[in-house]
Amino acid sequence: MSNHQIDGHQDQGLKSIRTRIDDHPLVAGLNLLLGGIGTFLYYAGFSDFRSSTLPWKISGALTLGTTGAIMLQYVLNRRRRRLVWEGCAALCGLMPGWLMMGSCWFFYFLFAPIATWARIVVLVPCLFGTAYWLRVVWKDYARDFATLALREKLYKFEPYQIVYPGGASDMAVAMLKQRNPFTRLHLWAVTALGPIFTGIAMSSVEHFQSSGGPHAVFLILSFFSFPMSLWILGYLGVRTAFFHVFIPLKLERETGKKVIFGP
Amino acid sequence: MTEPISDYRTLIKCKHYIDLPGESPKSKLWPGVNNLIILRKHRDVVFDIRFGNGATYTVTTDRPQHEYGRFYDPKRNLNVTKITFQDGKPCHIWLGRTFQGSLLLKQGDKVLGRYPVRKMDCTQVCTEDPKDKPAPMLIIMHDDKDLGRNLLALQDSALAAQPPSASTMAAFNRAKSQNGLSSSPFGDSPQPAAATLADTHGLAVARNGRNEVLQMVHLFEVKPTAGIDVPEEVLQFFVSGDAKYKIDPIQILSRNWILGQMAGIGGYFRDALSGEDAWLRKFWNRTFFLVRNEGKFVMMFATGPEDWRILGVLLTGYRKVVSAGSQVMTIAGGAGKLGNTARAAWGAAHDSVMRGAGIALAFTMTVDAMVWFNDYRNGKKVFCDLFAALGIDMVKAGLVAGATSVLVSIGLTAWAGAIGTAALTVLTIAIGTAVTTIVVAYLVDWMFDALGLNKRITNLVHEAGKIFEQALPQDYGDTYSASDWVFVPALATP
Repeated sequence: MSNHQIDGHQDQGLKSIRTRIDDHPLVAGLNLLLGGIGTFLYYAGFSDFRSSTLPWKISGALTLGTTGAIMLQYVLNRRRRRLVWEGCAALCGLMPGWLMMGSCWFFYFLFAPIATWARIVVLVPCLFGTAYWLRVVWKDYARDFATLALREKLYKFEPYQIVYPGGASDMAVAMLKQRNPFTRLHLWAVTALGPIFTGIAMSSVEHFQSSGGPHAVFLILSFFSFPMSLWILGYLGVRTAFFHVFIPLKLERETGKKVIFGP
Repeated sequence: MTEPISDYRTLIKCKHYIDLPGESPKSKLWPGVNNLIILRKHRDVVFDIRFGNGATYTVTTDRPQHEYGRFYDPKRNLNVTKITFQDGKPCHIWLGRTFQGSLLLKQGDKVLGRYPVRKMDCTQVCTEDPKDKPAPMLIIMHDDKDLGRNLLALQDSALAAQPPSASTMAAFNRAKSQNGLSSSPFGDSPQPAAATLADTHGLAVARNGRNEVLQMVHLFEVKPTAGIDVPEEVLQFFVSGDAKYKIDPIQILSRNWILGQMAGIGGYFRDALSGEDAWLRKFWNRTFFLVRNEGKFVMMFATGPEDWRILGVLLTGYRKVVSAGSQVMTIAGGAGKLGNTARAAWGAAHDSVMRGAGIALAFTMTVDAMVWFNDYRNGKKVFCDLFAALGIDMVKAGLVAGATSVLVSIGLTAWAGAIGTAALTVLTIAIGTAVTTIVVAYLVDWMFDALGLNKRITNLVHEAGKIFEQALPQDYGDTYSASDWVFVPALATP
């Protein structure tokens, strides 16, 4: 007991501070579940399509890989709390959620047995659109970072280190203006069709199976998952990459001080 | 020997009724009069318990002293207040139509079920006519471990349920307050319509040594009726609806499917706009009917004028179709004990039936029924398949809603853990939930297919039907095969 208190004094409270990194085993576990659902979706769906087995293998590998990365970061970085590594783990933590809720359009149009022209017509604009979207979001953050003087507001410069107080700073970042990837069509679709999604899939085996695979399920999923993907990648992914990885690296290079993740 | 009633030497005839063999008449036997003692038709009750534990069960009554508190054991030919039977062996007893109190099903001292028989018979159409047959009851509790295991594996929490007493009481109240169809578009039905009863006994699974009830089936039968005229076009509309639409490029949408969607939209908006007393809620308090007569079938709802306005298109054809003489079947999903973790999921599952999604579910069921009718008429299926199909829909909806709510909260928890605060708009959550629902619903459906659960449940109901047929005495004749059926989704009871 007394040891613990002494430790806390000696490390100036570093060890006894509980940060979000301490929750990462939980995040890893939940991600395993979410990614598992996504993997199962692709396993079931592409079994029905009787086409490539790659989607679920990719999805499963990504799930396991990201979960492993989070745990590795937890073991190595829990005490040191380097913001960069925390940011990388957080990015990994977003992956299974994306697999379950945002990846359907990508896997469907890339691997499902559909005409090649349909693949190209959908995937090329969607991928370019995603890239453009990520660039736009990145630029928004970069502009806000400069104009709102976020460097001093979000990062606390201390004599020997720079601290990023996770709770307060992430809250501030979340307040920044966001673009809406969802169209009015999505709003109406989800409002009107919301309650019957259960019905859609409940009859899917009978109704959708006979036509060579669950195309309808995946088309509907694609319609919703593409903006979901943009939102996840942009406002969860780019945000984390920018404030937790890019800026800390830049600050570390400029100042030579480590950027530490605070509570 | 001359038939006493036609014996010309008898000037004064006096009829005395008894309800069970061996009873003495309640009325006084006059000397010098031709006293005719007539046995009125009894009510058949069959208990079929299969937990596979070799246990002995006892059926007793809670009013053994009461003159109408006894029943008859056809095996021993005795008027008794207690009967014992073995696990796995169906027990058939006769009840008089005046039977008072409840039947108690016990294992040792433990009461497994309490059946207030007269209250449960919501058909209430048995008259004083001695030839009138009171509705029989079939009480089934099966422990199908294989099925149970598979269901548990699908989603543990979705098997959660409410305490038995609540739903039973709600159903009783509903049954008592049922005004039949007097307020329905079916209009001036002279007799009260068949209501039904939700109970919590039925198909059970054992988990951690405790029996838990997944699903139950109650059958009620009353006298067959005549004069039901189903408009062929209406029937055809539904029957042919399952054909795939040709205009759809990938041939995936059927008319029934679209109908289901429309119902979902209507239900959702109504629900969203009008709150607690919304039309949908009231709608769910009403009864869904499935009627068959002389080889023709129709599905219908007992609805009030307000529903009728909205569903008028669908209901007009059915105006005069419903009648009091109907067989009633209750399908209840999920009941029993549950762990704490399951309660929230159960709430979600229950909500899915109660609220917006529920109406879509109802339509799935009606559509299933309609398609099934066609198969039945062409001799492809037996009635069990329908109920199995309907039961499956209830289970599936529960699984989907339960698993979705769990997954959405897991997703939010995971994100919160990974990146802290996120600016989640309601629309983001709604669309995320929508995506999750589709994913889960598809997977549940896929698993039902992959694990062959549809077949298992169908087999189970088949078996139950067989027991009923064997247990029923001759005097049913073909009333079963020639009379009407009604089913009610018991989960709809708020």
